[in-house]
Amino acid sequence: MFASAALLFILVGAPLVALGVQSITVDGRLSLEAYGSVVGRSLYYQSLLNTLAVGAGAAVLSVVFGTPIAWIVARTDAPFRRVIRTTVTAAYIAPPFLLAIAYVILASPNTGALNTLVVSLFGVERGPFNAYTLPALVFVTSLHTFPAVFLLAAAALENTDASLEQAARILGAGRLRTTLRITLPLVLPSILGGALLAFVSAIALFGSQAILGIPGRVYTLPTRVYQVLGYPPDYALASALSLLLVALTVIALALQRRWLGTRAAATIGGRGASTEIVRLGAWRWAALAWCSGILLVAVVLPYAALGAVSLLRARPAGFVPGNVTLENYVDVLLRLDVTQRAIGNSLLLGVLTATLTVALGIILATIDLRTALRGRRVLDYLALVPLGIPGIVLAVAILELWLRLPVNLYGTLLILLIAYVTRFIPLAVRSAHAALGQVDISLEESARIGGAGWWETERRVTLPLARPALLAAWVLVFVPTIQELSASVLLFTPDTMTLAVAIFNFQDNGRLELVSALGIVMLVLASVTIAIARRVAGRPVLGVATGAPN
Amino acid sequence: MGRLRLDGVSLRYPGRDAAAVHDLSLDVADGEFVALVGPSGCGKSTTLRLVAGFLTPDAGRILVDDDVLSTPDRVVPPERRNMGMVFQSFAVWPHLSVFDNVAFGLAMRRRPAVEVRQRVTRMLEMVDLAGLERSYPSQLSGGQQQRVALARALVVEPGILLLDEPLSSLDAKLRERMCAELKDLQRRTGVTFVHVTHDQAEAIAVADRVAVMDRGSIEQFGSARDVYLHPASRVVADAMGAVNLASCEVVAIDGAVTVVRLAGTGRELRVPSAPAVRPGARAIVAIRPEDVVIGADGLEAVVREASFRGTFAEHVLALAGDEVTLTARTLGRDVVEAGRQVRVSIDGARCVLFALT
Repeated sequence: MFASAALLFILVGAPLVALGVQSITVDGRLSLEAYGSVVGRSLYYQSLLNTLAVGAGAAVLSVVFGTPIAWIVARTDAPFRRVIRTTVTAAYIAPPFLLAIAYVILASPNTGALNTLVVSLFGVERGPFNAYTLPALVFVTSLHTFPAVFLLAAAALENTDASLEQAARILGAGRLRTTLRITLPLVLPSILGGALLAFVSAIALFGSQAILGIPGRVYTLPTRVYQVLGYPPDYALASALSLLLVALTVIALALQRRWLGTRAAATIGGRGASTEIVRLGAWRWAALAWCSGILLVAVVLPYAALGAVSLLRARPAGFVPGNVTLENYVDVLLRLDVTQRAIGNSLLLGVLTATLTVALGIILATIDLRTALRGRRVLDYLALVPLGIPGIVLAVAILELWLRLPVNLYGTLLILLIAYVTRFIPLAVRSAHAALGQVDISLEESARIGGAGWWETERRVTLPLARPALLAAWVLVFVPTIQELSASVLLFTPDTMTLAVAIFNFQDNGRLELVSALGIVMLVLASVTIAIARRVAGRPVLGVATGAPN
Repeated sequence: MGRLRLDGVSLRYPGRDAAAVHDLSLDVADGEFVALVGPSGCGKSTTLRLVAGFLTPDAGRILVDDDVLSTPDRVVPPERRNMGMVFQSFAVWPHLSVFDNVAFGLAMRRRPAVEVRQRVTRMLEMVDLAGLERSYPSQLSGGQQQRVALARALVVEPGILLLDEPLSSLDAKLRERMCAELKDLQRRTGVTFVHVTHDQAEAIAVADRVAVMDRGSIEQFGSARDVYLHPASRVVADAMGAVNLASCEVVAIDGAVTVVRLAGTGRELRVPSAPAVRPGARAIVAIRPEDVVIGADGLEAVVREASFRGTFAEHVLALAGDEVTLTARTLGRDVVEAGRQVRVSIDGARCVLFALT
């Protein structure tokens, strides 16, 4: 108990304290100068506005894209509903910075594939698309965040007792009025909760904001933090900007908690009959068209673009004989030291992070579920705090903490491991909690009464029963860890290069062919892990993923 | 007005072999309280949902008064049937206050605000919820939510009120009280009630007439007394409470009385005659446990088990060695200990005879 509390404080609490102290320290003196700059200088002020625009825009678009798909999948007889659901979930798990890179390939002002297509089709001078703008950034971000709304709205629609709607029908409300007066108010908290989750995840997406924002000089809080930590680093300013980002995140999460906890959301479900399926008739095809349209731009087009470019020697030449090659894969897997090192580091860090966080999750969940220790609720809350800390902010905080301590961890894999473990504690703790919560206490009690000691009981009853769910928790941490960019980008050195950072740096140098190949390698690694886990666990391991990697 | 008629209605769920409802006909008089009772899966809830218009029949017609509401080709949607419905889960809307829940149907009918307030207030008084207008369902007990559901369904003055297992999520004591209140409410409003339940005691307690369903059809439709005392089939006898179904041989038929010999015992009983029963054939005689009397004379029996239940006691009796067992019910205070030798007599006039099918 005390050991885990101390560990959580070192991981979660201490960096935040360092961040706060640093933000009011300028040249070793106490000063509010940094906050003055944030409020007073338009370039920082502007980055706050851009961040709000990205968050709000992505939230709104997520509702627009995600809610109809949720309704179609949960409540209608539209074809291919299962495929649609799986694809939307996959869109949530795929790393958002790859999506941004794909949109560079598709829609960069001159060489973008869609632009050259328009030019060659219509003979105009320039294509209409520009990926390096705020609207484009908002759009691409929403393609990553809309599954949050989808997942929550679909779950709410599926769990709403059909008799609540039938009661309205029989009292004289038609389908439309029932939907507006009964169904919508009942699922609205979930939709809004999803929108806020989209907001939180959107404002923290350093990768997309750097890849699409910086070339067009559209700066956001994360990219400003990244920029002011360039040479010479301004730690006070970076800390103040970081805390602003934390404040936005925490406010949004607090609102989300509140809305999801409202009366309406709390009481749906219950003893209900199954929900009613709406027969769409010919409209089934319109519904399918809507879903496929969104999935086309969110999944098919971008990953097809990445896949295609990964097979090209030189992107601008396109698919012509002599330009198609597997060289890029040979390069990233066998020739280039830096990518091989990055893949090795990421896999190692992934395994360590997933194992450590799940172990910690099991300990915390056991304390909470099976003991009456005082203060165990505090532990639970502490473990959720990292949800409110965007990746880049966490990196800033860890840097500042460890720069002040006598041990130098900068440049080691250990500092990355600390960052990853901290970031993914909430994910692991919640999953482990759910996994162990499924094991009824009476099962443990029967083992105890049958003569097994505490450890025997854990080893022979509890953990085996929870194993599939714990394996799912492991994968849930492993996959985002090998894709982690926004904290790694401040903590890596050439020796401790990771997969995501390698991709980010290559795209910065314009080597999109290598980037694409490495991106595909990363997706394959994640998919293979998920597939193996699914096999071992005997069931799908990725249901609802709530901690968005970035 | 609310005379409800089902005329040869059938429905088969896609992907199922057996029909959920098969060639079902039923005629419910205006202002009558009818219960549909039967084991789960017998089609009673499906029948109710067909009446409500949530399902389309494969065959047959459903009429209210002289309006055809459902045919395989055309189904008047639920919102235009002027019916009320109370669900097993109550289905009280958690996002609306008690007042708004009850006022919903009137709002849909575009009644003026003053009238809505008056009618809702009156209705809430009727179901004993006055003063709770501003409360939300999450603040109410199960019984109170039940009343909100009732008020909401009745305030629109529906022609017919459909109740789908409305009492099964209440605890036993509350269920008993709500039975009485439902009956009272039905008398006062004069609305036709169609009440679905799997609990025969509840059906008997509330309904004027009971329709016993089995495998998608109505086995018997009659007064609660009639259905209990004169079941038309073994299935009905079995569905309407505890019963001994004893095998027997038909000795002779003498007009309204048939003489049968209980298998194994050699004892003859004079029971009311039944159709399709031939002399010399084997048949089934249904004997209610309360008609097996433990007393001074009759057949020798051994009490194998005795269970004291308070107001009554139930005994498992072994007759003729162990060849026949009968259940006998006595008042609780007359319980006989297990292992005792007793004598039992059976009042043949109260038994019901069924041909073996």
